[in-house]
Amino acid sequence: MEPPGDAKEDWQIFVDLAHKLGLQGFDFNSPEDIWNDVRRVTPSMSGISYARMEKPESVHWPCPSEDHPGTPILHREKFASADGLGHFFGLEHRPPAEVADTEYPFTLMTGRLLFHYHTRTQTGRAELLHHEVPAGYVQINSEDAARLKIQNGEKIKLTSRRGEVETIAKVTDEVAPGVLMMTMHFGDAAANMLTNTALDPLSKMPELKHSAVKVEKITGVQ
Amino acid sequence: MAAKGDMVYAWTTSPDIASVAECGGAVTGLLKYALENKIVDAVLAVKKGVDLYDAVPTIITDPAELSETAGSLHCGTLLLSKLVKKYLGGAEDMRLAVTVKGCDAMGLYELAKRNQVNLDNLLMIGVNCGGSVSPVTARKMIREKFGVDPDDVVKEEIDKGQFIIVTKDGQHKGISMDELEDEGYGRRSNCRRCKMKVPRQADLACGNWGVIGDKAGKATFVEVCSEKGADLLSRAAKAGAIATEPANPKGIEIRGKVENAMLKLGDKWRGRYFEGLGEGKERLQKMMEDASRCIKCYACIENCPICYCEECSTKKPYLVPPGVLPVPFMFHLIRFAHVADSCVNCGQCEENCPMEIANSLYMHALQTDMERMFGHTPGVDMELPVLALVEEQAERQRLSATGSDQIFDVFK
Repeated sequence: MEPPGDAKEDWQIFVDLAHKLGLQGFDFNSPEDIWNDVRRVTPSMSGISYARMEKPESVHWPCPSEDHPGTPILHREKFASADGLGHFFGLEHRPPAEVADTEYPFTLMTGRLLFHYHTRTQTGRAELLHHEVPAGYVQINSEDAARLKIQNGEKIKLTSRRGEVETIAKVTDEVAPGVLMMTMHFGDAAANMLTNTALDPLSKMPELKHSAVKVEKITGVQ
Repeated sequence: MAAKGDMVYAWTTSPDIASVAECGGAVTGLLKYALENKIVDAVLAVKKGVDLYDAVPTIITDPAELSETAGSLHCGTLLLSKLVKKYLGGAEDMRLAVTVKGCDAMGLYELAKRNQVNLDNLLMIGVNCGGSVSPVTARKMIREKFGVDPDDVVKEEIDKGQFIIVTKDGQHKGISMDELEDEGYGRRSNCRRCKMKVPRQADLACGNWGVIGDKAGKATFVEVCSEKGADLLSRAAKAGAIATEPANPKGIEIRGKVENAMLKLGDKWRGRYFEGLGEGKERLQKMMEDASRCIKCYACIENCPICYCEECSTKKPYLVPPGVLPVPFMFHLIRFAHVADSCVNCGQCEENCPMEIANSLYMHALQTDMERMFGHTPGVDMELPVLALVEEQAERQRLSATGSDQIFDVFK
């Protein structure tokens, strides 16, 4: 796609920036140049040339050389272990760093929607995708909503030990009682104001999918 | 002087065109004549992209570049009709020659009925088409059934019921289409069901069927289908751009037989596909289950030569609630209701569906049912459709003014 107006393509901006910073190794003239550089330093991609990618069946990595057929399905014959077998092992259950309690009785999960990508810097500009889901919301089970007298479409307040967010309640049976679901796409319903910062000890992945929150009606407005 | 109904053998008199074209190069010769003599402002045709599995639509205004479009490609799965509307202003302000397969011609007629293209400005050079093969299928088939590296193939053709390849070392290999298709290779499903093999709604219908005797392989069979076509052929012949001779009567007969065999094959596949769908609720169930994978990417609507509305009903929140998954079946019901009577079975809705939903099969099945019920055949002439909304904005105004929700007044 041609960049709009006077804009440069992203790769040109990076190349120009690198030159301004006096960095070596950025003498690229095309996206293909850059890709070939990626191939040079990434053995699993080195067989994936532009010419091969032009073919309708394309190439799947790992593809270590030009004459390698590519690998559409990983680990089909054997796993990458010493004996080539997959190994099962037991794990002790360890509860999430924060679980629901009497003060914060709901478990908040976060996730994505089909219609948006991350913080919508791209998908938020697409008219059609914006039409599909224009704003953030929280899904709440119909039993919980009935108990708390929350109507579908009502603005409610969610609070965790880290912060609070006001957003629209979507009453549904797609989530179980006691569970709330928010997406990570919307700044005006920023789920990560609520999520926990605890990290997985091994992968250091933050525990964004599980945090304890409470739900309150917003009174005096509406 | 050529006249409507004439059938001739024609070939180019230009050695340059003859060296790159097939079957005498009459099509390229006629296009070149039309462009050089300002009968048209541009030519819309198809040329080879990165390889022979990659067909690329191209606009040509320099006659010297026309030879790039010579020869045929069967692994392109394009429809040119909607490109005329989307990118060429419906040929409102330009005279355009277009090479058309049956589906391209049908799509152009349907767009013309909806005032989306101006047929008066189009010169349609029809080409016989026995069907096209998706690039991925073609390459898989050549590797697995022919035992040949698809990148070593320099030419493919469909002739006498066979898919034939020529490799770079000059080897010819052919396998019967029936055998290939019974094993799941071969032509696209809509092409198998197609019964528009000779596009007579174009201005000229050209092809190699029925070229026999000393002209076999060296001339194109041309059937003159309109005054415009007759005029082009006469002028090009008079100017010496092409040479013609009356078609051999035996050749005409053979052409008819080839066409009939193709039509019978189309009927056979229709039978197989439509019976496989079942009837009534069973059919609906199948369609709903398949359509439940829809991700609402709009490729079916974008590429449909019938869809033209500025204000698509699928985007009305009261009909199809936004953001809901699986996508409500109403999305597809709207397409069926608005398109089915005019569907030309071009296959674009299926070809471009990333979820591989058999969209074209469902729409075509509905279309053939409706054709039986209402006697309307889409894509062959300018007869208006039975149900479809033709003047979108006027129709929306009428609905809003009367408060009616009856878009199609079929009971009147």
